[in-house]
Amino acid sequence: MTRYALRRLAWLPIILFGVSAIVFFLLRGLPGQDPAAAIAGQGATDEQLDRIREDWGLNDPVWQQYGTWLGELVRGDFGNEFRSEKPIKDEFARRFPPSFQIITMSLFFGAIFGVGFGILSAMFRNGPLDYGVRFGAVGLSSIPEYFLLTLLIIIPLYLWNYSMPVGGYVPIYEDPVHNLKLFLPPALLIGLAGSAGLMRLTRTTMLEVLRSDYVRTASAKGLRRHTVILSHALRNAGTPIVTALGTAFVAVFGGSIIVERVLSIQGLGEWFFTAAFIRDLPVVQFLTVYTAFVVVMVNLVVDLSYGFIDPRVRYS
Amino acid sequence: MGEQDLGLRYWGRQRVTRRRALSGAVAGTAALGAIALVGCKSDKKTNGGGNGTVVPPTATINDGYQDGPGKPGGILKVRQAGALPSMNVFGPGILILAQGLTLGFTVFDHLWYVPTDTGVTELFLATKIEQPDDQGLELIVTIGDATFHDKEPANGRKVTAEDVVESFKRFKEEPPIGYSWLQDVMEDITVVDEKTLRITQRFPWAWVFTSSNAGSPIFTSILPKEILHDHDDLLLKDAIGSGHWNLQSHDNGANIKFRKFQQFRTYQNGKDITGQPYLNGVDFIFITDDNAGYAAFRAGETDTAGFTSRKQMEDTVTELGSKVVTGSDLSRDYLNLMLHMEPPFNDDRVRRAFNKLIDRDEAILLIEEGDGLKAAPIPPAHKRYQLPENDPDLVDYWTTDVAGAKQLLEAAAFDFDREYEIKHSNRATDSQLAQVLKEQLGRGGVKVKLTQEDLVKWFTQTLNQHQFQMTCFQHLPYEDVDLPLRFYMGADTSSGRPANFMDYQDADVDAAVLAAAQELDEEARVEKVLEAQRVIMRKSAPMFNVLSAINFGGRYDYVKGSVTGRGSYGLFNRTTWLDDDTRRQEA
Repeated sequence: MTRYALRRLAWLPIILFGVSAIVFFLLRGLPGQDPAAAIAGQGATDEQLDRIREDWGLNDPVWQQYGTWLGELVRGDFGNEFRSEKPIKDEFARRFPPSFQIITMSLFFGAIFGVGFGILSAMFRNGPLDYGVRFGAVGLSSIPEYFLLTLLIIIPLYLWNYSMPVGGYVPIYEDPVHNLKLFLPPALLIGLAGSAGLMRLTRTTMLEVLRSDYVRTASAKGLRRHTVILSHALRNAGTPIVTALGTAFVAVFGGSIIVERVLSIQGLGEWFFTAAFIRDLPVVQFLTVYTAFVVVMVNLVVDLSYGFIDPRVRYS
Repeated sequence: MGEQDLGLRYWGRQRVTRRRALSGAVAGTAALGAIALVGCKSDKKTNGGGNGTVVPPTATINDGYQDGPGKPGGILKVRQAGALPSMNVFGPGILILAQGLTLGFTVFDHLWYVPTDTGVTELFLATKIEQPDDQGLELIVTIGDATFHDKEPANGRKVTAEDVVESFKRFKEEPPIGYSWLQDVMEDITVVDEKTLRITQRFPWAWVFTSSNAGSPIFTSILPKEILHDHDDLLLKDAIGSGHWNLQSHDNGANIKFRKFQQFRTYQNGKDITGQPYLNGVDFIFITDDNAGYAAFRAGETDTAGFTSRKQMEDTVTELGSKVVTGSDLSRDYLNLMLHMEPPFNDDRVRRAFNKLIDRDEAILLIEEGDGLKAAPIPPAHKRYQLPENDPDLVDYWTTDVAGAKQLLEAAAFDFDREYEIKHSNRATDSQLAQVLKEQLGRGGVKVKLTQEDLVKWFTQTLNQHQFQMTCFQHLPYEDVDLPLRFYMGADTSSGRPANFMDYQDADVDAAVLAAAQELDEEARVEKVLEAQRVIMRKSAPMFNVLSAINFGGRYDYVKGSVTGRGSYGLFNRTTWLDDDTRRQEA
């Protein structure tokens, strides 16, 4: 498995190189993308535009700009924001914790709801609970996250004159109450909404497994029902569920942009949104490469986890 | 004091009606949008009215003293809709607008300012201005006693003329946003002595004192000379000035906290202002989402609010009753249709016909749900410069006449088979305006194709590089009439470069606009502004202003001393105070 992992990891730089090149050249190739003109606005003289280009290295050929940027990236220098000139590394360090927390919590609740309700739905197939869960899954997956989060703000306001905590992110070790008041409701909501796919997949997979001979045998042996379900059936249904969790992670990762925007959290998603909007190219480039890195790593972890879930899986 | 948009949302800020609530959120933060059309702070605010009642726009004019003597103390909590990228007020124009607008009249001091409601120059740091020559080319400015905030490296030292001179020169080094008084009009600025400085202008410029010129909240802030160069780290993180607020803290540009500068000077405009500001501070609370902002106000987390619609304001009054004071104010921003001077729009009959096809009343109804006013070349919020409604030129300009328009188009051999393009940004207001204009122009047989563009692309490429046949958008709320007029001028007075987006040039229009800009007598200047508008309308200059919206705002009744209609200055005026007893009771 180690060799498999190393082989997969060996592809990482190649994938990141490809992503970085595509993003870099695409951003500079789009029409109307002269960053100096965008920064300077109308009225800038040629000298002033030249100064901006000089300051940001925009006079160099594009491939040379890419080489410089890539070299710095490899050395751990992510560059500076166009807009504020602040180091991207510092800003990333500041914005990572809230994003990490919202993603982790949402994924946690998504997994609990998705797998839990999926199992229940399979166990009580075609019963009221099954129909309820399936109806809820379809309903939740069809409502945009932005709308759900807006309801999260509006409904408590009109019912109890309650406002979500304002003023942004406070680390959990500084003020756990404020932190959880800010993160728990959206994480539950996003988790629940995001769990719909997982819920349906778990149900389908469990239904197949529950019909298997070995499950029937385990039941015939007199094992308790929950032991049969959790120890025998679920483990065999685990592989597609973990795969779906990996996909859900990527979805939650993207969804964090909306959560952060609506809840005024200065995280990575909000940063990406703002940077993309104002053409802060160094930030967009960095965050795209970072996202690719995370997605590749998550997929690797998912692949490696198959071996733990199902001992029949061999990495070769 | 109204909602604080902090410039980041400046260009993106719009009246988000119920219909637009969702799309508005997508348009969201248009930081870069603050880009260029200059201007100052958003004027989305409350002007106060009777308790718990909805007041028509500008029915009540408050001078800040209407609630009796101010009481010292308290921290005002207001919404901050966007985080500042840094505290740096220097850099290419578009990058520093947000910082300039936030810190300009708070942390930093200025020589003077012209409040939009009175139109009369108020001296701030300056105590005397002399214009020795008849043309006003030279200004001798005397400054009063003031000290900088007690922070390294200024350490509370006195403000000198050299600080003013060096600050102006430092701002002049940066690329401007379009026309700039510093670059295009100011010839030089020099120190005469510790308390006196001399400004020379290349040509007479009557607007020198206004907020788009030497009274700019952004580009004429006064900083200690020792941090103007080679202190990039300090400028990114902190702001040191001599204004009435000291920047106490911020969370990387969010949740900014201002605290009263105890050594703030005691004079202004010949008045003793000892003890002002009354507030101990202002806390900006970072809330990006409009719904969350409204919820925070309703729950008492913020003291002021900007409402997205009249309905939301009325609902709030119903819910909170006399605890809130709501009001409406006429916005200084304005919507327009712009034609590029290429065939067929270089034919004034075609331009005239297009204007005749615009139904402004209908546009107000469709876009602003009836809450707006028709706009002339100078938007209606600038009351002093409004033509009487029965002015023949204005009547003609505002009259919708589809039959007359068709006749004009036919006379001009207009190609009705051709499709004409309106490019517009993806801002909700711009999109709505484009839809309305397409429909209205269509009544005259004009085939219109709409092309929506990303805001930044639209601004930097389409508008800035004049790459459009037609475009329509919402202008920023300029605090004076200099810019709205100068958008019609054909060439910049000094550089000769095109001064307008339409590539429009007309000697009569240029002469009329310049005549106003160079008329030093205030009363005479008002007349010349009125006349310039008449010329612009008669010539069918290719920027047709459509309407200005009415904004709605509110505050809890314990917030006192608000000033009406003063844009940037009003937002940060020192007369606001809190009735803490009422606040505690209501909490």
